[in-house]
Amino acid sequence: MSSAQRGPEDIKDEDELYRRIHPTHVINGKISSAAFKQRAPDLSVDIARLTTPERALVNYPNYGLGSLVAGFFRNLKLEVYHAPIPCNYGHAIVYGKITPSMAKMIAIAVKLVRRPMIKL
Amino acid sequence: MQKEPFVTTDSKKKGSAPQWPQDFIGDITLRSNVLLLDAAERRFWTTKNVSVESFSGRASVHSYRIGSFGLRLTNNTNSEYTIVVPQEILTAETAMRSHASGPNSWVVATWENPKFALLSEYCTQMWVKLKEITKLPTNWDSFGAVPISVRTAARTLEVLIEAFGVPHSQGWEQLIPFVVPCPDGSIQLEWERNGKELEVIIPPSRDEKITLLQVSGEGKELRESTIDLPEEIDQYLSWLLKE
Repeated sequence: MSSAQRGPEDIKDEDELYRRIHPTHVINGKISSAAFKQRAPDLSVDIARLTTPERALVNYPNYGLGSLVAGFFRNLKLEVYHAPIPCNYGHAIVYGKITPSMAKMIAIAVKLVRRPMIKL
Repeated sequence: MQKEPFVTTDSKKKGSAPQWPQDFIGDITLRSNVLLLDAAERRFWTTKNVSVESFSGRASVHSYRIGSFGLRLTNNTNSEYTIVVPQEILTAETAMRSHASGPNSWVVATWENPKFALLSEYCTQMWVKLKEITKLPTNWDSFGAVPISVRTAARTLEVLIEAFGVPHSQGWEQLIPFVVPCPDGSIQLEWERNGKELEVIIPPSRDEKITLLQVSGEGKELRESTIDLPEEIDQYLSWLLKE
């Protein structure tokens, strides 16, 4: 279990979650599955109804922004819970091991709501 | 027709473990017929009236240095195209930085499995990308990503060298993948051909296997596999290239 403290917000399956996307992870307008291949089992996301795309990218203006509903992660047997941090009440965690197949399924499903401002 | 490799080395290993300082590199052979078909044709647009003036080399035992090694192509208008292998090319920390003196071609070596590959101008973008991602700092993705090590990049080159040796008839351009850094320090190669995708994940540790993901059926059919050695990639690329 992740050490991040659970917050009070209940995340519904239909809740949209934002995830910053590094410019190297957008290829010809599509998100690479590499964006979801982390060492740690907790993937940081923002709950869309508790933030805005602008706030999600406030310190990272060149990044892209992906969006996917919480239910998609839960269907992959991943846990999704609210985990507010001091500067970001809308922060949440997607918890669990993401295999290469799962990363690919996520990458295919994620909508790119903001393209990166630069191409790397 | 199956293409021969541009360059081969007579590598005799002592023991089975890939401990490169103990490896022996023998004579190096450049295949002039391949060079005429590929390098010269790309440079001069024709193989007619192109002569290969000289090239030879011998690597020193245990030293991984090549004293004088290169080739020069000359056509009937006396235009020259010279490729030189830098002396440092086989030292561990400079392999990534070594390249040919030709304007748009690259000679690349990897140190754990000493081989050469001549990557021509259409590979430049891939090569530049591979070098760039080794410069990414800690936390480059803002979520705690680790840097991409030169050793991981070198192992990726081994995979690429094997990939470019796969027999096919669709042009080498078809074999150029996207090179993508992963937050865990891995490098991912991505190919998309004939409605299929192939992802190859090269991990930062040699103790970990190379993972492959075959994607077909409009993203609905996914199959994961692992391989131990870069040369095992050929069957997967053959799958990808099969129409």
